[in-house]
Amino acid sequence: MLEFLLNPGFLFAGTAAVAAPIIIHLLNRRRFKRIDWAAMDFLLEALRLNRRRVKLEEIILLLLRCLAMILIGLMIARPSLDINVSGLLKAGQTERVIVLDDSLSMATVGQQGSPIDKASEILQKGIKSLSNSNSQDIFTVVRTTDPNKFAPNGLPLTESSIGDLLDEFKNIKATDLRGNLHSALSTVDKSFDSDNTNFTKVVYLFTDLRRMDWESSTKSGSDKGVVQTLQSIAEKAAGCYVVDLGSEVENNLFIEEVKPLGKVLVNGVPADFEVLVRNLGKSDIEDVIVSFSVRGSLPLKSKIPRIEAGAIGVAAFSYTFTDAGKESFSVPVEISLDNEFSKGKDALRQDNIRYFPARVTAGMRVLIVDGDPSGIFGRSESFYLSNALSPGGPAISGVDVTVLDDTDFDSSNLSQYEVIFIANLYRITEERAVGLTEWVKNGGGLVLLLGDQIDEDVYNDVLYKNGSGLLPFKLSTVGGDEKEEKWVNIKPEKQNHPLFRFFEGDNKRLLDQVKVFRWWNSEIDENEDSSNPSNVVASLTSDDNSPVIVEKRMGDGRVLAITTPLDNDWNNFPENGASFLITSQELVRYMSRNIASEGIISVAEPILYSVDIREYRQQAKLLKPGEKIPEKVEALPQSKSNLNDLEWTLEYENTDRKGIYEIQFDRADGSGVQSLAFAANIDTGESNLSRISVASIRSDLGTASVEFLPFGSPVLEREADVVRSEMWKVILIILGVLLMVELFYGWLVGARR
Amino acid sequence: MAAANTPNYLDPKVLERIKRLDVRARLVVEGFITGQHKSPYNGFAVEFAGHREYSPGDEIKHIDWKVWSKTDKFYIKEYEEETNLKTTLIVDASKSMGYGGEGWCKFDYAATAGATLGHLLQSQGDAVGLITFNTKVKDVLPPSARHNHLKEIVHTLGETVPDDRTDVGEAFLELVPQIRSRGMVVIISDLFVDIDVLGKALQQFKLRKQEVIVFHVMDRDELEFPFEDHTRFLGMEGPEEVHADPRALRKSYLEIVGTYRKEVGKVCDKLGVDYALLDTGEPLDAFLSRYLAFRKRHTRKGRVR
Repeated sequence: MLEFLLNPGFLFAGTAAVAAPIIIHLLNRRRFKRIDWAAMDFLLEALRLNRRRVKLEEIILLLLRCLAMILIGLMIARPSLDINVSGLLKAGQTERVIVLDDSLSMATVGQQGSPIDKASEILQKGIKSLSNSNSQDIFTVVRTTDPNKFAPNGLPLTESSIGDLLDEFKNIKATDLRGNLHSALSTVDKSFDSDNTNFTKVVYLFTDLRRMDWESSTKSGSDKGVVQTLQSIAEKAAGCYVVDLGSEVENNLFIEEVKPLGKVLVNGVPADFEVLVRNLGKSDIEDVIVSFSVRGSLPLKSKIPRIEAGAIGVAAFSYTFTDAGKESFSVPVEISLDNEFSKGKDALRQDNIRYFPARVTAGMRVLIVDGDPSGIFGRSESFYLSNALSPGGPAISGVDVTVLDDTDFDSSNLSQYEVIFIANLYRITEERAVGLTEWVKNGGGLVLLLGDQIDEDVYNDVLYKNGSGLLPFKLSTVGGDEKEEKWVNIKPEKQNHPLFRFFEGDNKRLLDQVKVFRWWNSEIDENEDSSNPSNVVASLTSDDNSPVIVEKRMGDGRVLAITTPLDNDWNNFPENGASFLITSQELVRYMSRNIASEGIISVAEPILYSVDIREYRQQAKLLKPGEKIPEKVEALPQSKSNLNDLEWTLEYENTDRKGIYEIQFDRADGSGVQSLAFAANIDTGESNLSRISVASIRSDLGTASVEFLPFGSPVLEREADVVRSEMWKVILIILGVLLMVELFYGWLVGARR
Repeated sequence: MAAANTPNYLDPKVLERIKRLDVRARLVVEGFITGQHKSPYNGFAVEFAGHREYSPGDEIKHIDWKVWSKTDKFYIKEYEEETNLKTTLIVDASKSMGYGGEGWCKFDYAATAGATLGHLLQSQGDAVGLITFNTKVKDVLPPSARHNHLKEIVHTLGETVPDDRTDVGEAFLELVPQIRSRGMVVIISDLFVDIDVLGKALQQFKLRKQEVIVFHVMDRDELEFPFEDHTRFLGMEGPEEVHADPRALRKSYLEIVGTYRKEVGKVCDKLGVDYALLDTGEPLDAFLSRYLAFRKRHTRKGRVR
């Protein structure tokens, strides 16, 4: 009931102080002189004639004094009411809360300048105007790209701070970051609840009204959208203004994605790229030239003849990353639109550039665990496979093969491999199975080749685990013809599967040449965990269509189990020459995660990298884009409880600029450094410049008092529109008038007497 | 010419320090005479009444030398005294006359005025008497020209303490018949009485062919009502009390007092009674001047000069 009072206690004090004049009056009456008076008749007559008037005068004076006490209490109680009070009568300090959208879209080129330039102009003008009027206001700014922080927070306008503020507003630029308008408004909204001060708050939202910002989904745990949050602010603030700095945009072209076509970039092997360029304009664009520049060298150029309105155009590039002295290295690549059109009419040019961290390796790292090694040529389980993946000769396969036996396998570091083949291994320990599971979930590709060496009970217990383990099926018996007189063929169950790409078209007949004599029968449980279902990629042409290739996804990786080995024992696939070679390589590519696209983050996304401290030192150096001096960074243990964990994590959060971030690691053995590149690119959502209409926002706001100001109208100078005003000045004036009336009336009464 | 260090005995502030009324009165007269005023005896003609044979001891200055030149005998001129007037001082001794400042109340002023007048009259050879009254006649000293009579008057005045109430009507009823011979009546009172009653009383005197002069004694406070602080006024002659802010009543009170004085003046004027205000804060010379002027206008034979 007393919410309109900032200090309600003083009103009660003032009301209690009303007793003071009454008490003083009564005390005065108790202090009097006594005079023996002779002319009593005259006095009595005078009293008779004046009794009523005197009493009335006394009552009036008493009332005036009591009212003055109440007004003093009311003034100190600082009432604030929903009335427009301007000029001299405006009391109380105002906190001007600026919500500034400084996201990338604010750099859009417009007729009167970009939205961020307009915001800068308005803010500078406003500060100057307020400083000229000796305003006692304070300033708080929250940016949509850093929405959880006020900076500055409650800065008063003093001689020194005015200069700082003007500099700050003069130098504001659109960042590379994606703005979060909802979070910024939520921060402001919450500040009303926690505010202990008595400032009147006026909120100004500087925005380009991009639909992407206003229709952003709410975070979990919050039931308010952007408009609802604005509504909430408008109910609490003395004034709420939305300054529309944007304009309708005819054309915007931007690079949406840079996609390497292969999963790995191999040293010395040509790598193909596709650059996707989207046209968000209203008209088609012709002759879009895309530049592809590796480490600042002369760019390759590719022309997209035409991109229709709203569509994507693709520019293709092929580049061979070569460094003879290194096995693996990182190369920064810059891809940009180099177009006369983009210079003239592209509304937002900051999205015309994209970065790619080309991490070049010797090849895809593949481990083959040989379950039946043999010194005899061609007899080991891994012989055919390793040769197919990494054949000799001048041509580089792009696969870096390591072969281990089971003993070495148990102690090997799995994280250095992209694909692991477990070829006909007798047993796998529980511990190793756990490690494998973790590795698969992190993106590894595991191929289980099942032959005559395996212990099906162990596999069922350790790897199948009633459907929750790595093995996609339960092993039962060995099927087929031991004498190898009868065979079956392989038939793909899924069309266009990458594994059978070689056998498409005219090559289909080559698949029929693959004879499978023996295989493991399996049981796939239909009721198994549906979150990780087993998919039959290919089955045999046996009576029961026994599955031969079954896939199971786990986490970011996958497991492929083949019920017959690839060692020319139970089948003749390895003898099939090219088909086996190509299929093996396709298999590796299929099973590998896309390491070619690793290292790409969005601006503001932290860099997270696992460092094997057996190989590299904990400390590293990181060079930010645009900087010349690297800063020191450090990898830390992932788990404080497990200090034996050898996988440490380097985390870097300060990725507020687009560009290439290069980290240099020192090798633990002191043999040199290893550099690793990360590319931070802008969020392509900022490139969608379509606007939300003011009418639709107003409609959603309902009766909330939010005023929309176009560019050009006064913003911070709007003193008179403070809706909720403190009234103490008005009360002070009334009190002054009242005291003067009391003084005058007291004099008048005395004069008449 | 008065000496530089001689106090002004006409000033009430000086007079109030003199406790003996007879001394006070003498000093007033001398102050009046020797100060800025003419001899009260001036202007009073003394008519030649006849001769008588010189006896040893008579003053040489009274020998009529014209007669000696003609008769070679020494004869003394005898003068008929101008003022063979009988003046009765009627002094109000009611309680209200006891109002005043520290040590000097209205009665003191009135008594001093009366005593002074007595001195003057006696010096002129007039007979002077005294009547004091409150609700009734207190003391009556019939007019006499004997030298000791003045002492009795002064003594009586000195011993009188204002007391009781004032009811002039009843007292005058007693007074009027007691003043048998024609003469002058000087009433010195604060006149806190009903106008009609006062008028009737004065008329009574006039009917008996008395010359009446009324000296209305009022204290400076009663005339100006200077009080500022909250005051409880206690009636001196009754139980009435007024607790008020004097400033609230001042204007009205002064109007009432002014109106009353005017009414008293009208009544006196109508009856041919001379009226004068005696402000106890003012020096007594005004009183004396007034009396003497009145006295000049009225002779034994009623001639007005």
